[in-house]
Amino acid sequence: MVTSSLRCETGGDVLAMVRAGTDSGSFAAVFNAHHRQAVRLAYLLTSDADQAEDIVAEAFAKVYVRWQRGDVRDVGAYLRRAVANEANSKLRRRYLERREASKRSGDERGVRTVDDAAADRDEVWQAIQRLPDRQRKAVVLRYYEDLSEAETAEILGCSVGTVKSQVSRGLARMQELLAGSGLAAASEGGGS
Amino acid sequence: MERMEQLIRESLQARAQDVEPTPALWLEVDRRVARRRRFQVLSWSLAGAAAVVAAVLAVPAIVGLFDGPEQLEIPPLDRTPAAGVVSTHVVAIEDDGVARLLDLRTGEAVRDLAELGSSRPTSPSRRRPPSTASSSPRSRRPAS
Repeated sequence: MVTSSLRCETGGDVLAMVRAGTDSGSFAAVFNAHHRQAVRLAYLLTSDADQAEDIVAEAFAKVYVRWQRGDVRDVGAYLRRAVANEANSKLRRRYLERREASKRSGDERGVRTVDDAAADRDEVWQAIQRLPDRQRKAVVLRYYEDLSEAETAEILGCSVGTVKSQVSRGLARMQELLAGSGLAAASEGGGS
Repeated sequence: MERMEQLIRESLQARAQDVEPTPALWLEVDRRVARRRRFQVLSWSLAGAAAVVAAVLAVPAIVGLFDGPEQLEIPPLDRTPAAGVVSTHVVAIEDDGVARLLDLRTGEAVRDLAELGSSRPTSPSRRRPPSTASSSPRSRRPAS
């Protein structure tokens, strides 16, 4: 928007000078507006804070190239997609590591809070981490980002039907994983 | 299932709230952007250099294809003729379609080969039949 108005008012040369001086500043503003949410999303997709930052840094570097060319209309959506793609490639790379880690997840639950609600959330989080990657991504995008099925499908590069089935299977798997605790029973009761 | 969805939402929100990006993240982004830019410049430079090398190699080959058939090389003529080939006394000339003998020493046409004597050096003109020279109308002109 700012760019187009500048182009109208001042012409190409001045615009080039202005762009050269303000590009990084403008992108810093974009970064400030989106980076926190992006890191959180990356963390929920990977369960690894360091890797989440790595993913977000790479995603922003990619976004910057497109953003500079004026190809990005909705930075938030573009960034979400970039983060999801980066997370996907990272997850693929460390698939075996994750499988090993998931076997030990019962031992890595960390310090549990005395607060029951917090304990429940922790238990649910453990179950989310044990979901297969595709189900987990669909669940995170649907329930954390509150995206519609169509938006989720666009980010994941699949059909709406696939998103529906992934989310449905994810929820069913969560029920199974939480069957040992009272949470699954409570959710079944709440749903009926 | 709605309860499960609610639990998932709460869990994800609570977990996300605990995550705060480090201040170094922007520097990392900046570093990666710079690295991408360098890589871009390098890759364009390499592509340009490859194009130049390809042009240097390809242009002469392409030009060679359109040179046409190979030219026959003609060696330069010897400056000095082989000995005995050129007469120093008499040569045969063509005058108005009639072959005649010309005495190089006098610069006049020879009427009869006998005038030159039998010891004259051989020349292409001597191979011609005398009747040819004598039948020329101009050769009948009396020698001065």
